Amino acid sequence: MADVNPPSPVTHFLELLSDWDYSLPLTTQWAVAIAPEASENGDSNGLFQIIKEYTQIDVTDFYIPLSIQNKLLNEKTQPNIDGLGLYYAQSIRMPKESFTPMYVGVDNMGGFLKGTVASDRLDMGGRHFNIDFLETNVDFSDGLIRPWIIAASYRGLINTGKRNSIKTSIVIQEFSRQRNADDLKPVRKIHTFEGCVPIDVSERTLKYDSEEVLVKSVGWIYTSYKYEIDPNRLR
Amino acid sequence: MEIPELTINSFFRNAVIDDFSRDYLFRITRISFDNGELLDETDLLFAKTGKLPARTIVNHQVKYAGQTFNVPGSVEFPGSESYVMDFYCPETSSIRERLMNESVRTFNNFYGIAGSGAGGGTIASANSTIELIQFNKNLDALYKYELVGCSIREVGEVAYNIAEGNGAVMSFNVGVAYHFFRRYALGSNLVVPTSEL
Repeated sequence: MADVNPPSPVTHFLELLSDWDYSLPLTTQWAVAIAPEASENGDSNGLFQIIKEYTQIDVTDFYIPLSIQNKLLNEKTQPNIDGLGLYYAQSIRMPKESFTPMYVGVDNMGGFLKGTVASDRLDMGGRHFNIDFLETNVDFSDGLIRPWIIAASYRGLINTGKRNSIKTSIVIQEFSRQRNADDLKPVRKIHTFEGCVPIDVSERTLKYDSEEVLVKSVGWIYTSYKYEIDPNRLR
Repeated sequence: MEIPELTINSFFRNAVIDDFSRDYLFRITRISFDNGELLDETDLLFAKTGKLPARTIVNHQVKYAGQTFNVPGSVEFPGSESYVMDFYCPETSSIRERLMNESVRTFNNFYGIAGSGAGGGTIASANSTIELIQFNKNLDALYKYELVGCSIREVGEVAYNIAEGNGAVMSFNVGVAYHFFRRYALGSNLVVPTSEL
C-alpha cells in the first residue's frame, strides 16, 4: 500500500532542532566590552585623561580621580578572555533597523493606488542604544559614565583622531550552546558599535523601605554599527 | 438491536478472564540520552514509580444560537515539561550522581556552557528517549511507550533525617521533559497505527 501519510512536521522540526545551525540559542549567554578609541595596549588611560581635562573646566569642578576610574575599566573588570565581558553590564537593548515607506501619487488618481517608495531609516536616525549597569561600591555609572557625559558635552563629537578621541567602540558577543567537544561555547554573533559616546545615565532613588540591587541605564549614541557571524564558527 | 449483557455476573466473568492492570505491572526499562544509556538495568531496578503519560486533544468551544459546540483542536502532552520518576537512593548515590552529571551536561553554570546533542543542536534530540513498558501478571510486555526528545529538568533532593531518623530508605525524584511519545504494541491484540510511528 502506498504511503498516504503527509510529511511529518514533528520529525522535520526535531531534525532541524538537532542541528547546531538551526538549534535555539540561550539568550543569557552574551558579553559586552568597551574599547575606548584613545586607549592603547588595552588600558583606558587615554580616555581617562581626556575626561579629566574636560571635567575640570566644569563650573562645579566635577572630577573623579584617575585612580578610581582605573579601577572601573581595566583587565580585572573587563578581562580580555573569550566568554567574559564587562562585569557591570546587565542587559542591552539593541537598536532596531527600519525604514519609513512613503506613498507617492498625483492628484485625482481615481482608483489607482499611490506608489510606494523608501524614505528615512527612521530608527537609525538617532543611532542610539542602552546598556544597563550594576551599581557597585566604586560605581561605574557615577565614577566613569557621568564624567564621560560631561566631558563629551564640552568636547563635542568632532573627529580629532583616535588618540584624542572621546569615543569608544562597544563590542557585544553572543554565545551559544556547545557545538562539539572542541567548541564548548561558540560565538554566534558579534555586534560592533563604532564611535560610541554615553549621552545619559538614568536617575536613581535612595529610600529606606527596602534593599535592592541597583541597575542604572546608560544611553549611548554611535556613528555606525556592524554585525558579524564568525566564519570560523559558522559555515 | 442486541443489548450487551451488562450484569454483575458478566462483569465478574470478564474480570476473571482479563484481570486488571495492577500498580506494579509497569517498568521503566531504558533511559537513553544521545543514544548512550544514562542508567543501566541494575540502576533501573531502583525505579520506584513511573506513570504512563497522557495525551490531550485541546478543546475549543464554539457557540451558535445558544448551543455550545465542542470542537477538537491540536494535541498536548500534559506533564511533558517534567515527567517525574521516583528512585530509591543506593548507598553509593550512583544513580543520583549520574543524573546530576546529565543535569550539568545540560547546562554547566560554572562555565556557562550549554550542552548539545550529537549534531551540536538541542540536547533534547530524537535520540534521547525513555522507554516505559506495561506488563501483564505473567510479565509479558504488552505496550511500550517511548518518550522522545528527553532532557533532564530536575534531580530532586534527598531528605535525610539525622536527629529523628529511623533508618528509612532514602529516595528522590527525577523530572525529565520530553516532546511527545510513541506507542508500540508488543504483546497485545490492539494495534497501534503505524502512522504514529
